Amino acid sequence: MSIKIHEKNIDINDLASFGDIPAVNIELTKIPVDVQPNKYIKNAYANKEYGQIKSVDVKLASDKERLYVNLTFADSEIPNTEFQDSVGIFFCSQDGQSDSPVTIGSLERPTLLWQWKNRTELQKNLSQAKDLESFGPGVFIPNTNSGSVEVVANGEVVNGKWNVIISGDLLAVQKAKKIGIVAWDGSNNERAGIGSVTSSWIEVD
Amino acid sequence: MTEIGQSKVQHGNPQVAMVFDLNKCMGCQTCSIACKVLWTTEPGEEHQWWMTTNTQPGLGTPKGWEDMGGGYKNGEPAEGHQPTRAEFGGGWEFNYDEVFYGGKGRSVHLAPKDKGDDTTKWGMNWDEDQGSGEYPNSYYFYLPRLCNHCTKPVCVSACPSKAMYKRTEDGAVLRDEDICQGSRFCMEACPYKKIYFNYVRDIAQHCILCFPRLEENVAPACARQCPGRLVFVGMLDDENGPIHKLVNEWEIALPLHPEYGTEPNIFYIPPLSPYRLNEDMSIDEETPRIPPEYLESLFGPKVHGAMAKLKGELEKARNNETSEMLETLIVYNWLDLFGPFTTDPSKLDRTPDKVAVTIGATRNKQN
Repeated sequence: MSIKIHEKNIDINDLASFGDIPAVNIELTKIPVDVQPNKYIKNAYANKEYGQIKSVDVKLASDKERLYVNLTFADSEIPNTEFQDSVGIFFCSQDGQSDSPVTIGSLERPTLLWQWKNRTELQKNLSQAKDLESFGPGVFIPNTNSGSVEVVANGEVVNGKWNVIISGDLLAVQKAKKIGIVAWDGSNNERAGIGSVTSSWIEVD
Repeated sequence: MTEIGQSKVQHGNPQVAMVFDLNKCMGCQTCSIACKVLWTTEPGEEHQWWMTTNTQPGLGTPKGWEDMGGGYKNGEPAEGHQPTRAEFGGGWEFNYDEVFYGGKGRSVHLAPKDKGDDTTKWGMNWDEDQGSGEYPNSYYFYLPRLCNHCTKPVCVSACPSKAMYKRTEDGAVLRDEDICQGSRFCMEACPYKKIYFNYVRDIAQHCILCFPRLEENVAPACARQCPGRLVFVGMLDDENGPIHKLVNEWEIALPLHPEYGTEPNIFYIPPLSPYRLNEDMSIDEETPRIPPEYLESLFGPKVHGAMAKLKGELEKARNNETSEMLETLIVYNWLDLFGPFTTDPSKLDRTPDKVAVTIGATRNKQN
């Protein structure tokens, strides 16, 4: 599986600005319970159905400084209550080329994760973007090594589908060469390591 | 950052503990208010009461918390329910404009605005003074609750980002709010359901044991403001302090729901109660009005021994004998409650420069 980065100027606030760039459909799989980071989550979620977002359409574009990622996926018809829908792109670490992406990094080989998170009316002052380091499924902490290119994101529901743009430093993908996708169905109380993920790395051209 | 996602809980470190004497608690909520005005006045904290006092028996805060699971079973973290905003209730907005300025002062009563989210159907002290039992043997007592700052904090173990940790210097269970991702496994795992979610900031929050006060040798606000002089604060292993005597030596101060397995560091002197009245209104001196089995459901089987010791000491006092236990519980000198934390907060240097340094130091310690 591979995706090409198209050269195009993208406006993060214009969710239609990817235009006719072809989308690649990426299948997602449930993040396995046995890779969850602690006993509580392993015990409590062993028999729960999660990983409800089964696929995401992905487009990549660049303006030579920034990488723009367009992610579209079906929005559940079940209303969100406690948790919000979310999606993220993560980058294979240079020494983690043989790792499986389903863990979204590890303690030994963390990976960079850019996350978009839907915000409620109460959270309108919070950014929709999170620039994180991932040490495993849900083992996310703010990235303290960010460069000067801020991670930004924007998304909205259009005709029952989330249409999301995440953008950050192009260097991230130029170094990694491989990416993964992770998504959370908030209406199913998905968050952290309780979500769905790409089961193999996606090569980026 | 090698221990992210792993619990770093250790036994044997210094532990600040508290003992609440339920025989003195009058349910005045001064502890709750003292905490509220100090720590939870920001947006998103309206419904948060890190300190709550509920009437027992009752469904408590959040509603029905004792049936929400979590904690440890057979040594393993057990699945728990994440309390919802409606189950906590409270944090209401009132119709002040309508009543006071809308010309309907005689027809509309002051009431919480119903936002359709069921948050007006419960609150932190909703079942106040309902109690249980049939007249003339009805009964109730008050149960102040805060984070138990457990020795085995399952919330810390459940946090995937290791935003939560147990401080080695005083055993306070804290959270780095900059790291918290709002995943709320802590809320599920905590069997006492004393962790709240801030829906504005997208992080969980809970009692911090007033750690900035402890660092200045000031007792937590809930304890210091208590007009009933019923809250002891001190180091659990200080063999000369009242906490150690009440908990370890006399064994009359007990943790709430010890079966949850998290080894709480908040302890309670169980409540004595009047004797039951018989149908002819004579006194049944064999039967306390609060059923012992109910107290056992809260404090475990050791409650019976604790009650027996308390009654024995009362009998000694009635016979003009000296009871060190009762002398301790009476608290003749208010500051005796607070162990090493007797500094008067009004005497602290709170000039802006000093405050800035304190905040900076606190931030560095947390990180």
